[in-house]
Amino acid sequence: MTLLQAKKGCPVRIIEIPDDRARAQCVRFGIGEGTLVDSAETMMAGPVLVRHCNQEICVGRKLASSILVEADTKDAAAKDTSSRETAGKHVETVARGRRRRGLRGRRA
Amino acid sequence: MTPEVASHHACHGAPVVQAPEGARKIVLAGNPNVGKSLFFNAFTGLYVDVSNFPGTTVAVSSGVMGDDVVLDTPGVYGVSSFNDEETVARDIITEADVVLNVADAVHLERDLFLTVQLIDMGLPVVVALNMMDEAEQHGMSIDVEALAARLGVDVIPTVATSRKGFDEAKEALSRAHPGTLDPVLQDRVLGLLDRVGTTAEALLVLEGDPFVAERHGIEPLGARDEIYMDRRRRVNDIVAAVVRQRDRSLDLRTRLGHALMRPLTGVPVLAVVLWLMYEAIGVVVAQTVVGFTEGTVMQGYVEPAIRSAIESVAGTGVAYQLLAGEFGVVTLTLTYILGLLLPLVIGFYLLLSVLEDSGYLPRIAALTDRMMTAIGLNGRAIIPIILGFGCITMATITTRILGNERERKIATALMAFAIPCSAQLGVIVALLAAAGGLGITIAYGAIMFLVFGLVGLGLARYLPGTSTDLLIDLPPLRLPRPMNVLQKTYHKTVMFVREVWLYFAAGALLLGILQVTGILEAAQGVLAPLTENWLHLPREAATAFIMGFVRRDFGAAGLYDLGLSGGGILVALVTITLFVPCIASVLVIMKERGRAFTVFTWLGSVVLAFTVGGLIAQAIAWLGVA
Repeated sequence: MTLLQAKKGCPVRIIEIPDDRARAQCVRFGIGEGTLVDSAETMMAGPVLVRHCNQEICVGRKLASSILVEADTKDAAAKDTSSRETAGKHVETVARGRRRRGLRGRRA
Repeated sequence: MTPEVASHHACHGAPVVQAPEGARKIVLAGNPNVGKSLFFNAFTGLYVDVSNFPGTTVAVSSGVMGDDVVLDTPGVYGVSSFNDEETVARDIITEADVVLNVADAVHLERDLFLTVQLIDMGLPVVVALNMMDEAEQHGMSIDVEALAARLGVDVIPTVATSRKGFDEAKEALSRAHPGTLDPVLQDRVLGLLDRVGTTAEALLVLEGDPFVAERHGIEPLGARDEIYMDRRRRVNDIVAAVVRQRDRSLDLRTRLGHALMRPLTGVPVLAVVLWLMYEAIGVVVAQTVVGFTEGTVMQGYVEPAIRSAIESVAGTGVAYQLLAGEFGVVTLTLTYILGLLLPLVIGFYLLLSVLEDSGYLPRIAALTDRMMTAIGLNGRAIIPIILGFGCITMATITTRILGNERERKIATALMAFAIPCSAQLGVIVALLAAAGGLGITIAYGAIMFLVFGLVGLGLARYLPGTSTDLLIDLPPLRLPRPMNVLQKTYHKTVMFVREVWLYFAAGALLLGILQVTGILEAAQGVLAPLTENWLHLPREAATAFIMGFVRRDFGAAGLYDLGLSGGGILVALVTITLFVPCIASVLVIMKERGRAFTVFTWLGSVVLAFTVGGLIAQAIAWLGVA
């Protein structure tokens, strides 16, 4: 599903951010492909609010609809340490996939 | 003496900042809203030079501390060239002798990304771990020693608002040294060093920075994703090792922040804030203060003094007309800038700085984002649009914060077409009050809103390209610090006046020439049939439109004396609001957006004003309402 479809208040894992710029900026904010964020919420008539650690990020709807996420299946409480390791592996998988498909994202 | 930012753009080897020999360049770097300016002010004292960075419109502050030069940089989340702010920060940082990296202890996951990047750049770094008090309030404990050990640089815990830790940070700067480098990354950087002079620039080339690569005549390397993700992992590891947080529940401030972004609560709050701004700017400043500065001081004392001085030298011929006549370069420019604009711009920047420092602006951007995307903008564009109600010239300059040229064009055109500036707004409100009807006021508001929306939709549809999406980080809500607000207002106002005074003078000269040559009067005659037959307004209304070329409020004020009825007032107000922006705005639009776009906006607003105004006049006549 996309970030726009994420269920309110539930943790989600970021799978893919296709746009180059947005991906780099998100990594700087602390959210990379593979990161498990605390929650995402599509605000009524507004953007998607993503909470991660003590931070809040607003993502416009169109951008949010291009970002792929998955609902977190594991116990959210255990995420702190485990997510970082799985995140690393996951990111490599995504990066490999992207290279294979020749996907470079849009260049702004 | 303060150091100067050079007047040429950074290029091959030429330093962008000139520092005296033997002086170190101490550069402050950090994410936005982390308290960098408090460090800067404490380090440099009062003698600060603020100037536009060469080739850009980003303000850079510089000052001296002992024998050293201190430079502030715009807040950035990383060093690269995604926008003007980053380009400026990048060029200053890569030339630094020492970097004081101010990091927000509460948001270490975010802030350490820049810290580690600065360390990867091989620069001598000292980290000021700021907002330690807030971190404690959040139930966080940070092992500062472990953090310093991992980064390989000094980390000084600070609380900038009470200047705690400043002496230690200053002292640490003298022993600043490069931090722990990642061995793999270091190898790759070393491989580039023979082609690119410094580790810092080599890293940026490796991260695919096109500008730095071009500077060294090589192709940027596309390793950004990989390096960024790796750096992200290193940062996460560090944070996991040094930060303990007991409580992750949402505090009151966070909840309040959410309420400001939710339509049901956010819209009423925004409405109240805008109303208060209107009361402060539109009523107190635009009417009372400007009445005094423009009417009493400038027109009462200054202008007569200048006129008699010029008359005694130049007589009352053409030269007098051009210098001190109705549109005299000297008189009109001075009155316009000092009497009218200065109070308005100070008022607006004061309020804007309060909103900025409180953290409310990004939340307004979130609240209005969806609405703005419909007209090809994103939430960030609400800032220049709100400013447009103050002064279109000032707001046009502010469109630089928008994501790309397409967005800047849409916002500029919308303001030029459909947003009345505060000077004009004052007269409009008075006319609406004179017309005496709530109905007229509502009709005027509704028509303007409709035109704004339709023009926006049209531009979004027909301007080529795509607009950028909102992607912003929300700073915590805070009480603004008065000193900071005053300093910001002062610097912004000075920059604004410095940037536009020449345009006002040029505008006045142009009008003076039109008047002296009789072209202005001839235009009045040409316009007359349009006003009488199509708009159903008295012939003299043409004068108001001609005046509107000069200054939007002149135009509106000209209508005041025509003794119009309710329907006539509505037609006149809609027409004059949609009519061309003032001559200074036109010149600034030309500078910012180019000639073709200016012609489009200018002609477009004439056509739009007379079309919409005429349609309303015809509708009123057809319906038979007065």
